[in-house]
Amino acid sequence: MSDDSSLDALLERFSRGEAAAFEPLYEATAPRLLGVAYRMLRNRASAEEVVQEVYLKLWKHPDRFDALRGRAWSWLIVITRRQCLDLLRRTRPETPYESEDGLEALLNPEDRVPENPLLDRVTAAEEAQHLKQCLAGLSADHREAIILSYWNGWTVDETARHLGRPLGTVKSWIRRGLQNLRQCLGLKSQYAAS
Amino acid sequence: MRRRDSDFREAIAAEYILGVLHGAARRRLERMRREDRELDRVIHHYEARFAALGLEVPTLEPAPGFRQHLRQRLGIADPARTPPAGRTRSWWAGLAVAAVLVLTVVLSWRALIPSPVPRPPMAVSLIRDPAHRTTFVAVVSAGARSVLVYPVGHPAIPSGRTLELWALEAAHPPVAIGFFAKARSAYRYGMPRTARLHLVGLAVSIEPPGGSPRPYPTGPIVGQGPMTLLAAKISRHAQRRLS
Repeated sequence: MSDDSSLDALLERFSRGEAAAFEPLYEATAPRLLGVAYRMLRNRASAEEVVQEVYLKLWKHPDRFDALRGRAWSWLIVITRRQCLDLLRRTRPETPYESEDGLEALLNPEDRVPENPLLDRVTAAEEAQHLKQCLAGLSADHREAIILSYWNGWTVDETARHLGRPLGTVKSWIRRGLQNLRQCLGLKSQYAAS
Repeated sequence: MRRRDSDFREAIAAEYILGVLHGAARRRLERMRREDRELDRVIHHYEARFAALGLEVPTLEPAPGFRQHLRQRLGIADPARTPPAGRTRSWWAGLAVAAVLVLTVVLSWRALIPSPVPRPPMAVSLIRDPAHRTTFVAVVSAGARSVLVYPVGHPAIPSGRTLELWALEAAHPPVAIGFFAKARSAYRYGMPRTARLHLVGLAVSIEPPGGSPRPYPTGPIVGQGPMTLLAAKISRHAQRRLS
């Protein structure tokens, strides 16, 4: 797999319209992006369509990838997953899920999440390992509910139906699991910064 | 209070990234992040952190022709296939004339001959385990648009695993249909479009939570059954009654 810095450079060249960057970028990224899309859509034809759209977006909208921010793998996987979620939501009815605390209450521009300047230097592979460790620290129920929701784009209701558990139980699993995951990721970031 | 708001902002961002916010709640959050740069930053932060999960997913080799098709859509010429510059225009012109001719013939033919719409009949499949016990009964709707699956008894699902249903096609790899949740009397799934035309059977495999990470079963096959066309049986039955 390409390391992040060389992939950043390839993405930047491709997004500037340099056709010669296509071949190495394709070789480095297509099988993984296709794996991600297939993991979500479970249909090869749809997955291939989504991955083509990802390359088209990058080619037609060169401002999308900011090489200064880097993190090419994260960016590519995020874009691929968003495309998959869009497709999944277009092809199935939405089930509303309102956060119990009310969204309006969250917005206070004066609050700041502490910046971590070292975080951007952490490689994608290290982040993957870090996230894996944090997920492994969750209880099996919490972990399964989070993984299922993430990869399938399911609502809490759909995840609950799949697991055969009450909606309230699964909602609680996801909320507590995410809370623990955020704490784990946050604590590790603080250690890295110190 | 401020700390609580900050915690909540992070919590809601994580739920949004996970994908569990849907409908009005999702649209409202998307509206808010356009106006609140801090919320937008938190969402980007979590999105990037969660994306690391994608590095754990097995890679999948693109199908033959995928690269070439992508090149065409991007408008990037394949150096190995680029014809000499002087001949390009005449080659395209010839192709265009040929395409028009083929289209004309096809449209004329279709206008003259009414084409019956083929409609695959309803079918059933008895899915049996390796000991030949029936574990699921599946009924495929007319047109193979959906399949209704009834478990027989309570199929054992190993802890931390899930059962996944597959469509088997003649001369094609299996196509994933869906998962079996725990303790339900019946399951209805939409049939993947690619599996509708050549469906010859169904199979059930044991997979990790969330299903096989590959476009084929990765765990053991614990059930399998061929499709039986109900319409043909009804037809024979009707013939017996009439004779």
